[in-house]
Amino acid sequence: MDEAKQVGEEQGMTRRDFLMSAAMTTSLAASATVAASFGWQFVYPAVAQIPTVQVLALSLSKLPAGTSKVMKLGGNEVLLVNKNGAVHAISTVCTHLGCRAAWEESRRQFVCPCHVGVFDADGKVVAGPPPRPLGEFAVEVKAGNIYVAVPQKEGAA
Amino acid sequence: MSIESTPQTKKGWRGWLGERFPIDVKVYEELAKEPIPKHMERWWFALGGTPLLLFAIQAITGILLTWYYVPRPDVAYESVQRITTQIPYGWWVRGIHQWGSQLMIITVVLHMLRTFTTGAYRRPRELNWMIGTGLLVITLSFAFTGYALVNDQLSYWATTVGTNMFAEIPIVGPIILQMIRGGMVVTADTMTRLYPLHIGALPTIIVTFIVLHVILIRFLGVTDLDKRERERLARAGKSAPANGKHEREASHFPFFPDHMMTELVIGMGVLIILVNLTILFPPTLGPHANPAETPSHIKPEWYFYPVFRWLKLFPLQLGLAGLGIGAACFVLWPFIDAFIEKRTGNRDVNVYLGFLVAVGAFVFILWELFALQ
Repeated sequence: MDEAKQVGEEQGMTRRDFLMSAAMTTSLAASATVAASFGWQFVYPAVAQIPTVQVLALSLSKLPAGTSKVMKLGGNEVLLVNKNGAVHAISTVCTHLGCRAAWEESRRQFVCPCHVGVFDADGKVVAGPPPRPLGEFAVEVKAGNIYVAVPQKEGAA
Repeated sequence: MSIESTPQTKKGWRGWLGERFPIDVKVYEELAKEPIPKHMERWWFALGGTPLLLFAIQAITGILLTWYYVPRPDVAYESVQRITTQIPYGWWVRGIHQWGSQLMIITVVLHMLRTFTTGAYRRPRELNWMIGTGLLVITLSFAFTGYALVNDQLSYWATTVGTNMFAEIPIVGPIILQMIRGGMVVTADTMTRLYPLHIGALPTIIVTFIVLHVILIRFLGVTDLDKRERERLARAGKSAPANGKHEREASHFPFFPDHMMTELVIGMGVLIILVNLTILFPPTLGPHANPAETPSHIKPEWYFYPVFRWLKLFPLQLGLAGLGIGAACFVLWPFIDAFIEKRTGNRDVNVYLGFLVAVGAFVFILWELFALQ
């Protein structure tokens, strides 16, 4: 015991000093962890996932096979395409960096004005830097009406 | 000797102040007059103080703008409109702030280009180079967060594109994206996050970096390029290195007032340019932000053109990876340069590379400026 104390003193730290330092360091680390946890929850957005809602788009009779129509559904711009009777709802949000790709009816393509990504009527990448096809929303046809499941937009800036 | 026991050597207000604020003015006078190498007489070597002057102007005009600017998305645009069209000389204050940010970027880049091409970042100044690269990133972050606050179409889509780039960082990207935006998409919470960054966090960080930068310059001194050249020639057996007090006196001149005067003249020139740009090209305001429509010919501010064009040329992941690797090489360049020199003995890579990058960036800016798409 005395020997151990002596060794500690020779090394510049007694057992009491060591325990005191260890207790202080542990307390400080615990406090910092709690503060970091609270801080993280404060700054991290409360709404991490946007809920999806099903929206009535239009009557199927108004979208005959082989035609398409750009619509605003729940704050989202959507291209509705009737391809041989199967309805597709394509998002116009460019998969490159999030700008709105504009539908150009004359060339039947989406063109993103930001980095010139080009997509065909099915949303597939034709030219430019986008990494993947345009997103597609789930479509349901009920009682002759087209319903599209779209994300419910937060308050837009 | 404690401060209390310091004898009051001077009388009157100097003595009173000296007792309560015990600094020896002569020490600071000597520091100010410290000799610096002769090559610093050239204006190309006296650009370091200019961004500092512009930062001071940005701070003053920025504080003035906060008196009228309202950082709420529903009224931010209208408050900028009011500053520009209704507040007396609001257009002028906003114009100085807007042009000041652009000149600050230009002067920081010119200063870094000079440092890079003259190899002034070499041992023992590697850390100061890294602090300098940090200052460039902070300056660009000021510009990005600044024009996001206007809430016009350019603000909204630049914020959308700029923040989306973070999302591509592996693993932590989506978390960073949501932290900056305050949600999945750019919303009201995005502006209330960018505003305190622009007026609080970034100024604090940049002041810290500037202080560190200046302290290191004072501790390490500026690179004596002539001496380095003489030593290089001596190593090559072409001449003997000159040494001694007389040589130092001949090759140096005082920081104050000589070099200070050069800095002041450059500062005056920059102020004249700043005021004239503001008067000739007063600030404008684009259409109100519209999340439903991206304008057909949208482009960021010209200083982001090289990155903008780069991202058009390469697939997303490859383009962003290229930018990340480029940025890392830029920050760590002093060590890469030392490695190249050790392996090949070539000390001029920085000159060629600096020239190449500068010309490349310039070409990209022109390309984007005149490109239809």
